[in-house]
Amino acid sequence: MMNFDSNNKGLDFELNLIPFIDMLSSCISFLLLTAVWTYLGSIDTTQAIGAETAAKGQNPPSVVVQLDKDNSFEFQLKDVDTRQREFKVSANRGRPNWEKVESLLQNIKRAHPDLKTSVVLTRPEVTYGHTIKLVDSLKKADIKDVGISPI
Amino acid sequence: MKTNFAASTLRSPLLQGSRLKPFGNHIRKTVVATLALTSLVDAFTILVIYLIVNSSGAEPMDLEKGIQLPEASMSSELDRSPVVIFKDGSFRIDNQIIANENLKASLEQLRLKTQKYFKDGESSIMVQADENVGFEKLHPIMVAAAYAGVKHVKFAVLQKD
Repeated sequence: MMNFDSNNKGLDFELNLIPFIDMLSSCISFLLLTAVWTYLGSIDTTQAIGAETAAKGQNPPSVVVQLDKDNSFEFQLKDVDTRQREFKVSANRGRPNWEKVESLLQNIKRAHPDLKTSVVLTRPEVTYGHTIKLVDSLKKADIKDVGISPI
Repeated sequence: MKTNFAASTLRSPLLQGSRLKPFGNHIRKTVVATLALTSLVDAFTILVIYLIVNSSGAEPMDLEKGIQLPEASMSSELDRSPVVIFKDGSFRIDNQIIANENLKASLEQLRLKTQKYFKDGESSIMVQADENVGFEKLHPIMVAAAYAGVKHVKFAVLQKD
């Protein structure tokens, strides 16, 4: 029978962990410093080029959204079989009422599931941030094909 | 593996004065403070692996300083579209200020140079602008893009949860 009790201590070796900790600390510091904390994305818009839309014939159902300088919105449904084609959302204390806009768009989409196209019209005074927020609201309502009309 | 960071002999004054411990000064209690470094190394290793896995490499677009991008929750991933920056009242492509009347020609050049990288040959540009500028300031780039045959105009945003 082998005896493991004696003379085996000499075979054990001590691993010095301090350099490992130094190296790992340096790695963590480097990775934390070089990590990207702001995530960028893009909002895509499509625009008609030349006579492209006229050549395609029948227009798809669409909603035209106009953002006015008083931060109110006007919605107009086109090529949609419905009675009420126009909606308006007034500003809330001078600011755009995004909650109402989003709920209205959800309702429109629920009533017209084939609605996938939208055109955004903005007044010159409207900020770029509000325009992007409107496009974002349209995409949230599953209206994917959004174009911004030149002023 | 345990490493002794500090080993010290402490004498408690209470033990020295206790009548229940008649040996008083002869009792020595050794307090050894040990630190389990193995678990520390394990935690560090897990942290390093997590950080490496979650670092998705370099962003395909640099964010221009001094521009506060708008936020959007339905944004798409960035691609390699040429970037047009609107800053201080002028448009910049490749760090060069482009006059409004030359935008169409510059975008046409960009489109011809980059459209082979996009599916169906449809080209696109990425616009970076501050969220507080009036949209009328971006009107020239929209018109120039339409005239230059750029099908997709993308707007850089900060992704919102």
